[in-house]
Amino acid sequence: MIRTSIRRISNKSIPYEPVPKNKYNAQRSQFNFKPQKTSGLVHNPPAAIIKPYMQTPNIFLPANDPRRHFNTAPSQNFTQQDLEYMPVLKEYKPQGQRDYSITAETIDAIKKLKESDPENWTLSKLSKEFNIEARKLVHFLRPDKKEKISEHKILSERARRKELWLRNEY
Amino acid sequence: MLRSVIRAAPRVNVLRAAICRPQILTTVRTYQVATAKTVLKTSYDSVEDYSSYKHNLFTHRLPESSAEQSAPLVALHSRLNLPSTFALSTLSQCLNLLFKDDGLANNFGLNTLGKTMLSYYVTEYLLIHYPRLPMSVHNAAVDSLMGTSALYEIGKSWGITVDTTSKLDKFLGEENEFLKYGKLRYISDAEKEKVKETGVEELVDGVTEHSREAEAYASAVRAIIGGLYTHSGEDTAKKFIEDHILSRKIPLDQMFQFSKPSAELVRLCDKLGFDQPISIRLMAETGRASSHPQYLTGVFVGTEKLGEAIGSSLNESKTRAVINALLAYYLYSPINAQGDKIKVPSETNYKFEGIIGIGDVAI
Repeated sequence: MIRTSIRRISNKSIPYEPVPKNKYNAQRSQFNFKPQKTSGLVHNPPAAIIKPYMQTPNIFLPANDPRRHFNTAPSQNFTQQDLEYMPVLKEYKPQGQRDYSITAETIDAIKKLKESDPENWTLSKLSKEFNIEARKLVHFLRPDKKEKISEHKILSERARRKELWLRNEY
Repeated sequence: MLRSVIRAAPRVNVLRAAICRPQILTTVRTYQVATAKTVLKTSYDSVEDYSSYKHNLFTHRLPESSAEQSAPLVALHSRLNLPSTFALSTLSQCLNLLFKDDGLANNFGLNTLGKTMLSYYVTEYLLIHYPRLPMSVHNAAVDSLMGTSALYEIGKSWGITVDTTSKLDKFLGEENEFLKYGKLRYISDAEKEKVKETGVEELVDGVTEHSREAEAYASAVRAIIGGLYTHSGEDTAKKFIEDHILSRKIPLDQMFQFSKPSAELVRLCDKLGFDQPISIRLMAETGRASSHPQYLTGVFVGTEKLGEAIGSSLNESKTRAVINALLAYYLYSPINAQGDKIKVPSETNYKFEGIIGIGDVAI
């Protein structure tokens, strides 16, 4: 018998199981995992990180791309509540909300003060005086850039490791 | 001991004249003047009249009957599955880089033609299938597909061998005289006669960093493509390029090297007009006290995840996540509604289905 039509399965009715269902209580029997088979199709995505060249995030996809409607897996879509559990390491404000209120004159004044009396005019004092966040102020007070490291200089272990990160190598 | 054999730069004829007449004690300033190669016997009406330049060097093509008698040539022809319209004498011409030894036409014209064809099809492929690649990576990808090193490897894999035996050795070895027409000829007879001492290495010239052998092989490959275009038309040449060059895998994700990836990502998101803040969040960790901790960091724009990565320190995972996000943008490859690769302009019934990249990001 030749199949004349394919059974239509809606995207949303496929159960999402990144880890198979445990026959026993998931929390109390974590050590004693016994998988319970779910009948039918199951969405079991790999735990591995999706390679950038394999899947583009939805917002990077152009409007005419047909894959826009397929990236609906819960592992790739987060709600605000999910993000509450992930502490922020670094945040960048979007265009339009960035603060450019610090002027060159202010920085010149700060530098003059610092030069005149380095011990008394500490970072915290300067930040309080001029009402600028210390994290921001420290960037302006950094010393001049050192000469560029030549390409053939022998790098330290730590520097070599950092190079690997920037090259996307392990 | 290593001795360098430096090929002498051509000097002005004035100096040569001075040497021939030793009585004249003139101090001659030697300096470089651009002159056309005398060996090509170029003639012109005036130096600036470029259209009047003409090479008067007589070259002839190898007769087909002689070409058929060369076993390596016929073998190469059938190995590459070249169409029967591709004459064997042209194939022999593709393998010849010399222009003054035996008066046979060399592959310079075919090389140029093949190079143009290759440049077009390779850039077309990359620009359509990877529209968002930064320019430096695009250039590196072009080089990896049709650069001299790549074509050198391809030429070697086709079984093209170099003709290294001198005329004397050929005579003494009673070598078939037609054998050389199937081999890559770039070493002149005079060079072949030179005694090769062990420990003496010829340095490559400073213009190209590739050896003469690599350049010769690359030019032979390009010339074969040029010859295919000449004898069999553009469609056959395109198919040949697709089969031999464009079918090779380019590991684009290994060709990036970022400096200041976070700044680049912020500027990229500005360019794309995202109004949500970019946040780098710690998604998971094995625990700070674990012996080899692992941190999983994700880059988010609002609630959308751009990229994630694992690192053994917070900084490492942050940097790798940002780089993954950038790669996810740059390595985008469009597909059509049926899920197949989109068409390129040189295909029939071409319709633009992809995107045009918005360009590099300035940090």
